This record gives sequence, C-alpha cells and structure tokens, in this order.
Amino acid sequence: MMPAIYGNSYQIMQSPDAVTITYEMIHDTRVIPLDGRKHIDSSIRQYLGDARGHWEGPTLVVETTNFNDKVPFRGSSRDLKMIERFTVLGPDTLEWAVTFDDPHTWPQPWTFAMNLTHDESQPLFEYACHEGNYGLHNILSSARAEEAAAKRGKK
Amino acid sequence: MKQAFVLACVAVAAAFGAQAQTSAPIKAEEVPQHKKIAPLPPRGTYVPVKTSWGDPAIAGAYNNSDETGIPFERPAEFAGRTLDSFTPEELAKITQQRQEQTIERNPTLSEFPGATSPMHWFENYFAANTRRSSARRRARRHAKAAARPTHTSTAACTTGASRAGSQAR
Repeated sequence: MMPAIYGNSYQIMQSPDAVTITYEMIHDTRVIPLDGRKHIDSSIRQYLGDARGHWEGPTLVVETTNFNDKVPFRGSSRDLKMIERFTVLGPDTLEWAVTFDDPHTWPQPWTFAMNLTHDESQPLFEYACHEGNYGLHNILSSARAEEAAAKRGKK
Repeated sequence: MKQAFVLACVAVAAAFGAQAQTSAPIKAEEVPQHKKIAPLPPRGTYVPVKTSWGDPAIAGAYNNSDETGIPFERPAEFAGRTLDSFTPEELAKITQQRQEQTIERNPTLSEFPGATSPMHWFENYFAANTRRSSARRRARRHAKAAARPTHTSTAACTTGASRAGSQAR
C-alpha cells in the first residue's frame, strides 16, 4: 500500500469472518481472517506473510507474520511482524498506520501512517503491461522474421 | 518482485528513448484539483457506518496516489513538529511543493512514442489522481497531437491506443 507512480488503488471487501484487500499493483489479494485462528506454522513462509485481523472498536488491527526473505521491506528479515491499523476517520478517509517490529533490522519498532481516500470513481484496473501493444506487435514481428529466416535457410 | 517488474517496464520504455521526441512537462494549470473529501471531524469522534453484522463498514475502493512523494524521514525543517501544528495554508503549500518536485523529477514525460516515461503512467503526478480528469486532459493532448505534422504512423497508433479504462504499462 505504499504509493508508487501508479497502481495505487485498493479494493477492500469484508464479511463477518474475513477482510480482503486487493491491490491494483500486480493484483495481489490479502485474505485476512477475523475468526481468531492462529497463524500458520512458522515453517511456512509466504510473500505476503500470514495475516490475522480483529476489531478494536473502530479500528481493524491486522498482524502479519510468516514472511519469506525474498521481498524484504527496507531490509526487513523474515521475522518481521507487521501490525496495521485501519481506522475510519471520516466519510472519505481511512487511516492506515503500520508498525514494523523486526529486531534483526531495527533497534525498536517504528510506525508510519497515511490516509487512504475512499473514492469509488477509482476502482481497480487490470494490471497489464501492454504499452501501446508494442510488445505483442514486436513478438509477432520477430516471430515472422524468424519464420522468414528459417524459410530462406531451407532454400 | 514488484519493483523488479516495474523497473522492467520502465527499462522497456527507456529502450525507446533513443528516438524520443521533445516533450514538455505538464503545466501547473493542467494539474487537477484534489478530490474534495469530506472534512475530518476531531479524531476519535467520527462514528463510522456499520455493516449489517455490526463491524465498521470499510469495504470499498480506496486510493492514496496523493500520498506519494512524502519524504520517508522527517525533513530537518519540520523537526519537532506534529501534524496538528500545521495550518491548512502550510499543508497546502507543502503539497504544492511536493507536486512541483514531482514535475521536476520527471522532465521527459510524454505520451508520444519514444518518450522515456509515458505521462499516463504517472498517476502520482496528479495530486488526487482523478482519472476522469486525466482522461479529459489526454483527450486535449491527443487533439493537439493530431494537429502536429511531425507525427509518424506509430505515433498515431500510440495516441489512438488510449488505455480506455485499463492501465497500459
């Protein structure tokens, strides 16, 4: 949810038992159980970690552990524990506060927060790398060139 | 992985840079206004709408493009200050500066072929990322482009291949 040059829309869905967050950037979806279940075994490591959530009054608290070490956040280790707090501040504003707790990386937990703007006019778009369809055009063009070269080689 | 993927897309675009045409940074008056969000009540006083089962209702589409460009570490000039200590005027000025810095960092934006950075990639370029507004702006730029005699057939192809609701990357 750290904003980048594009892909900064998020779709949140909720049920009594779970909240899901789908990210426009490459279309990751996090499923956050709310039913009090324990984290998965520590031997299982995942790119998005293993999230568990619960409500504290108006705030959704999400604890995520079980990260792998392939996508560190600013040098974080696989033992990172990430606590997110989503709090409705107003009709259009959801605060997202994140605390990083990783003694292998930082001497003490630290937190940042930013607001998410509720805006149904900015739903998720497909994440697809087809800039002007150059890629498809070039792939086909190259294939035709290779076929032509192969034909010439046979003659 | 995400960063690598994004960088790969940028690298592909950069490969076309050798034939870049002249591009002009967006003008200040072309930047859409922030989304007019409802004013925030004092912290802790807002009572959110509840779901049918009683949890705060948070489902929906969200965006935080307008949060990009914020320094990860507190600038020295803001040492010791909290958000509450800033006046709306100060915040507006800071946001404007952030927007200007974004423009300065991306001098090669263009929608024309060969540009290193197609302008529509930069959703953080627009303070509130109002895509409908950017669509209108694209339409204006396309109209201008159509009037330019230097366009190649490739250019016409590109400008005609507007995202039309999808994010071309």
